[in-house]
Amino acid sequence: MTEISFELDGEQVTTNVDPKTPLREVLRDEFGKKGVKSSCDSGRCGVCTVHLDGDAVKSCLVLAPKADGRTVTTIEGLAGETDDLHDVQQAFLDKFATQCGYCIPGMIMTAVDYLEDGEYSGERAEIESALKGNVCRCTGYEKIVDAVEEVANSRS
Amino acid sequence: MTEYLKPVDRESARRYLDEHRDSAKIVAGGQSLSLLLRQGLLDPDVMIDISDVDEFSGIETGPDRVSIGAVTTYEQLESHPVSSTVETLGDSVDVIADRQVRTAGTIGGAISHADPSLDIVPPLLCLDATVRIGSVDGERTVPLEEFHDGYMAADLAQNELVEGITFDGSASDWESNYAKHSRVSGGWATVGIASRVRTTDDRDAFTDVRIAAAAVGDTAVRLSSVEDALIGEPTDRETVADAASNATADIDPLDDLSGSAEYKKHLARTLVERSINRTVDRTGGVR
Repeated sequence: MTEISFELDGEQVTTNVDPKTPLREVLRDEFGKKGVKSSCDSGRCGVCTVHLDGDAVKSCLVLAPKADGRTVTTIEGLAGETDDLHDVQQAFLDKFATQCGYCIPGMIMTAVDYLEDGEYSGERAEIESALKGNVCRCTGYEKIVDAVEEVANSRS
Repeated sequence: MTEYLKPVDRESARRYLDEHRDSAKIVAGGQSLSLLLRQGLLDPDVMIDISDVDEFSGIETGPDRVSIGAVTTYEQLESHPVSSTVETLGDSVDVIADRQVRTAGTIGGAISHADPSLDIVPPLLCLDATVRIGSVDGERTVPLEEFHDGYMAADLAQNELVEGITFDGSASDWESNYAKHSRVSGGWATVGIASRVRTTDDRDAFTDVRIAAAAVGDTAVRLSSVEDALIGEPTDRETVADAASNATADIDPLDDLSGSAEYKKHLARTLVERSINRTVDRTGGVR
């Protein structure tokens, strides 16, 4: 077993893992972060997207030891200490971007990475490209892009 | 239980690998490796994560050489000026997977993985790139074209690892492109074609041509039949279309879930033509 310590949604945590374990399993099974969803298990669908040192990654493709000494943020820690929603979460509500909801944590984590990664144009084609690693099986993409577009416009 | 080692410099990375040569696997970004582990195709006793080794990280540009460290991520390459100056690289990174995978996936990891469908390989073949390979015995280099020597196979001894890749990025009179078809945006290439050309000053004829293809056989390959058919020839659309029909001479695609061999041959001819024409357009186009 390999000991790993990292900051998880604002809290310092330590655990022992088989290093072949994907980060997603540690987040869900060890720390109860069920907001990190699980689906394709092969890096295609994006529902398990979290932030590693602020950058969106697919936690099913990240080996757990990669988190050691770093900061992991899940959808559950996105809004920080406050009871308010993050503005991207709020925009998804306002634009009715949530249907069954299963893809939404991953969608939001990828959208936040796009919006906070320096320069963006906010054009729809660019948003669609930024979100292409996240699949919505309800096919609710238009509303999802609407939500991200609203935040992009309100921030610029 | 698997042991996880994290060397912080080149010497310890080489030494760990030498000590555990029978049972170790190098970890870079882990984007392909984690799937192989999950599928049970690999079960190493020791994993050596080289992502914190400074000597293997980043992009160095000299007067005539560009050197990309093995653990440089696609995202780092995408945001580096070389992706604009060598357009086939920028085109390629732009269609690789998605932003999450590009954040974590590495150039050295990809090259070591040796999947024939990798988008980054054809552009590097067109750049005559050289792979830098390290071990406790020092460094050796091998042309990328020779490095991939079979389906998902590479010219690496058990105690050797890919430390970087180097190519000549100085020649500004080359133009280039990467054209890809995949079933879904960001998916694995059904076929991918890189082209890189140099023309006479008046843009009337090709003086140098490099064409390479992904997902058309056991390894990515240069399409010398197309290259030979174009050198010295006019840059017009008709000549390019005729030359592109030679693409099938150099490829041996398989029937698989992404398409039949016949379909991929058709796609290769179409994408070769498209990629060369786009490259010609970037030279300023046919007069």
